[in-house]
Amino acid sequence: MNAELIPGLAKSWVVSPDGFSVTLHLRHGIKWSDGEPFTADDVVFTYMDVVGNDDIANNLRDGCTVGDKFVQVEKVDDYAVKASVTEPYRPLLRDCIQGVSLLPKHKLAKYVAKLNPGAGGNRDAVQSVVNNYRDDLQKADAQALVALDAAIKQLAQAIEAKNADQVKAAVDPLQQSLDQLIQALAPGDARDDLEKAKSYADRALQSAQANQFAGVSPDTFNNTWNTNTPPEEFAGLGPYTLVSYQTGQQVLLKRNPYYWRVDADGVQLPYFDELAVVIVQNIDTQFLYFKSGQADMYPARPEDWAEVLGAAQEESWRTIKDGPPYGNTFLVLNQDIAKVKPGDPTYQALQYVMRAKEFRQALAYSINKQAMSDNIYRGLGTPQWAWISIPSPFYDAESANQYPYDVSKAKQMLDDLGLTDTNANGVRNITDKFLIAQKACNDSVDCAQKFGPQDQREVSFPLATNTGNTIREAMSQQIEHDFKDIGIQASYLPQDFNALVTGLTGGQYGGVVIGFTGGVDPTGFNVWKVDGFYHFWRYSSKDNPPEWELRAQQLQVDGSKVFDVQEAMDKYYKEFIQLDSEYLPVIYLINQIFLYAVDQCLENSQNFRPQSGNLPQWVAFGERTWWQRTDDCKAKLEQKGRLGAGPK
Amino acid sequence: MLSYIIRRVLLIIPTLFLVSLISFVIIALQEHYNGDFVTQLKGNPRVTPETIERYQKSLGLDQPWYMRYAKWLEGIITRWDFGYSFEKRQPVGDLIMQYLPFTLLITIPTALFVWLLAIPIGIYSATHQYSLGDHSLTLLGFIGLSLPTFFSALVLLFLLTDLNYPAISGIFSQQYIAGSPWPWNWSWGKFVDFLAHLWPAVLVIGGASIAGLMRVMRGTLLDVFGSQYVQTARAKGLAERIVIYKHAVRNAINPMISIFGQFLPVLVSGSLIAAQVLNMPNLEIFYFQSLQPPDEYVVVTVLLFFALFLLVGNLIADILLAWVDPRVRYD
Repeated sequence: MNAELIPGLAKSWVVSPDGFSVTLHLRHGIKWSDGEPFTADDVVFTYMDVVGNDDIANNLRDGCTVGDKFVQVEKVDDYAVKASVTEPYRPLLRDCIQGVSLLPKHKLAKYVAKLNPGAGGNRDAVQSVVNNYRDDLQKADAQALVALDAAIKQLAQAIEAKNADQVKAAVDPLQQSLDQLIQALAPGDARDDLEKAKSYADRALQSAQANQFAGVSPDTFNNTWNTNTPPEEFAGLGPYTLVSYQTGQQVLLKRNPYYWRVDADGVQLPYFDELAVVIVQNIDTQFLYFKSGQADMYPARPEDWAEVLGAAQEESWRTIKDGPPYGNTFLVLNQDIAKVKPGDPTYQALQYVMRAKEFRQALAYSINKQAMSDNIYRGLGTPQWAWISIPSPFYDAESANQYPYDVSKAKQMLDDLGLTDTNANGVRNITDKFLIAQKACNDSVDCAQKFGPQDQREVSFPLATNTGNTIREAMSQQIEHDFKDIGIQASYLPQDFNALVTGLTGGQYGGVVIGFTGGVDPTGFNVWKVDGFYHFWRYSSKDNPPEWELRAQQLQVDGSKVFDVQEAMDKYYKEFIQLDSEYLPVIYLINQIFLYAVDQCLENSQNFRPQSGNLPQWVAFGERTWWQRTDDCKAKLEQKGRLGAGPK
Repeated sequence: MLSYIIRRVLLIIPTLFLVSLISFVIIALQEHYNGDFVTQLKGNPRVTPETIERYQKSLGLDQPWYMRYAKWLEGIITRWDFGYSFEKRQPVGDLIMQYLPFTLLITIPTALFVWLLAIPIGIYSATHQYSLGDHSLTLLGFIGLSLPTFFSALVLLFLLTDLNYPAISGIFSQQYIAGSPWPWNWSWGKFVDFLAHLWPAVLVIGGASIAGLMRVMRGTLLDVFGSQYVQTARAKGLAERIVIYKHAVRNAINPMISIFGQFLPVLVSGSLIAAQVLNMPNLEIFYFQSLQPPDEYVVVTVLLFFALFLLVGNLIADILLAWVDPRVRYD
């Protein structure tokens, strides 16, 4: 598996003995695709001026934030940088250092407000804050707002005239009106942003006094480099550069003439001069494109497998099996389900059921993983037993409790728990015996009073997944069916993806089938910390955590400080996997195997593993597998009339 | 007549305003219940709520919907600016101009195909009522009507792939994709390539609407044949050709013209599924992709555009009606 970090732009790196910093040594002589040299300045620029810049919204910052502090990247010399954190944190290497694409300082520095202090840009920033909260400000102090607008206008004129004294004359009343408004506002976003506006106004004055009048607005950067940008404006370090993007039709790439990687014979990579990524909406049409030779690769859906494998010989396609990928697919049950229907006594009782680990274990036994794999993945799915991704070196199936399909065992466990079908309607009831054992009530009278009559307390809950994901839909349908066999009613209803995650992260759901993408590192604080934003199975743990969750959290935190894989496994993650699979906060399902069909004219594709290699498909095209055509194939393609302006 | 047209054109403005307001309210409701553009980030446990909030702010989604609507409206009125696409990070106006040519390249030939075929067939069916030709043409038309477009599109694609037809879907072959789709960037080869890609789309999308139109034409013409002035014309001994084309068809064409007003928007919105299967990068696909997660300024602007299509189509139909039929007068 490709789980080790491979030297790339950084030829080597050294973790300091205390684990508080990493020093990276960059390869010499690398150039951006426009020919400019790549140096430590670009690295520092990317981290300190873009990713860690508060003006710029991005989701890379999270991977580089350790204990609420953004990583500090500093230049050691032209070809070495040092990244320091406030506590040792192993995922830094992958999530932050490997996970961030570097940006060319010489192209982009001019769009970053922080590096281009100027009166004009700061004035725009003040204006945009005021526009954002105009309503609130109007309500708070209409008079001050009028004065503020006048001052902003005056400031604009002063900047236009490039007169620092006039700028000062405008900034003073501007600050006064801002102060008045800040006093009139209640604490909150508006007030915080007005405080920021004050600092923008200060910056405007300072810049004007330093004779810098133009400047860049703080929201400029997020809108540079979009689909409209002329290709020559981009510069990158990858194997290809952009030639053109035709909206909704194709992305045309050509080789980066300055790409630094060479093959074993010293030939500069990539082999292709051009790469056309054709955009095809419909998957059936994608398959037709492949079959007719208009595309060279097709990621087959499971329902196409029979056809692809059957025709491969005759059509001279190479088929590549890949997977399981990083990530997991699971069923989660809401252990705070009482909150979904606060007045409903059955849901109050159901919460005790959801919280019983034996119940979740029984459900795990009742799911027929083999049938799921046969029906959905034509027998090629693999069961997963823990949170950590299967290809990760931190995954260890041996440490996990496994739940092979066993209906009688599942039924026995539910009977033992006291979940029996008292009214003979095929659905198990939450009996007094169960509730008393869970210390929810004292005797039958008390139970009936608290949770309603026993016959009406059925183990029944809604089950959702996102519409359009045919695989999860099929899984949910099978789960509904498997649960019915053991007397549990899960009413399946697909939902729109946004609605599903809103319900999930708001704790408003019964059961959800969903999957997350994963990575090599097992660290997931957002999920495993009891007050984590994605602690979705039991948000109430924030105030009242079960013992095992605290232990799991501890293992996550302590484990993340250890850099050696074996040591981390032995000390922390084996126990973590054991806890995870015993208490089953989520019930793990099966994981997909992918099948790619590739035109055999593309050589060298044996190692093409975009899924378990943890790389997006088109990056894998350029980065890990180098493909070329043989002469025979060229002849065949000329015959087909396809060696014109297309990829050579 | 001129004052009537001016009045109708002026009426378009408040109508469009209402359309945009209602669309925006519906989008806002959807966002309220199902989450907005940044909610999709919540499906990734590596993204913290703070990051999501920051995105929300940078897109202006932390503002209440009426503020966003007012800002959008202000942009249109003061700067002719239709807002910004969250997904593509480009002005919506620019994006629509990128997708619009593909819509026009498909709808105009399709409309021509449908009308130039449906009217003669309708006339033939009416004049040869219950003949073998009438029955066969009607049958063909109904097959087109009853086959779902995605299905006929797929069947056609499979057939063409089997025949090694070089232009199975999309609008251009790969070597002609580059360059602007607007007519000032074409060569003869590109045009031929376009025609090779066009006919399957026209057949699939147009084939679905021929039957309806043809039946309307047939029905009204048969009605007219029963009227007294046609009998009179025949009694006078006029040639059958003159009776049909000079008297009957001229009167029977009125409902067809009214239908024409609603036909363009139907073609635009009705070609979504076929366009997806046939891989046409047109406005409908763009609109469809912008619905989920809601790219609100794109959705509301495209809806506005479709409404404009409908209103202008109807206006043109009314003007044509007055032109064709001297009895129709507007004051």
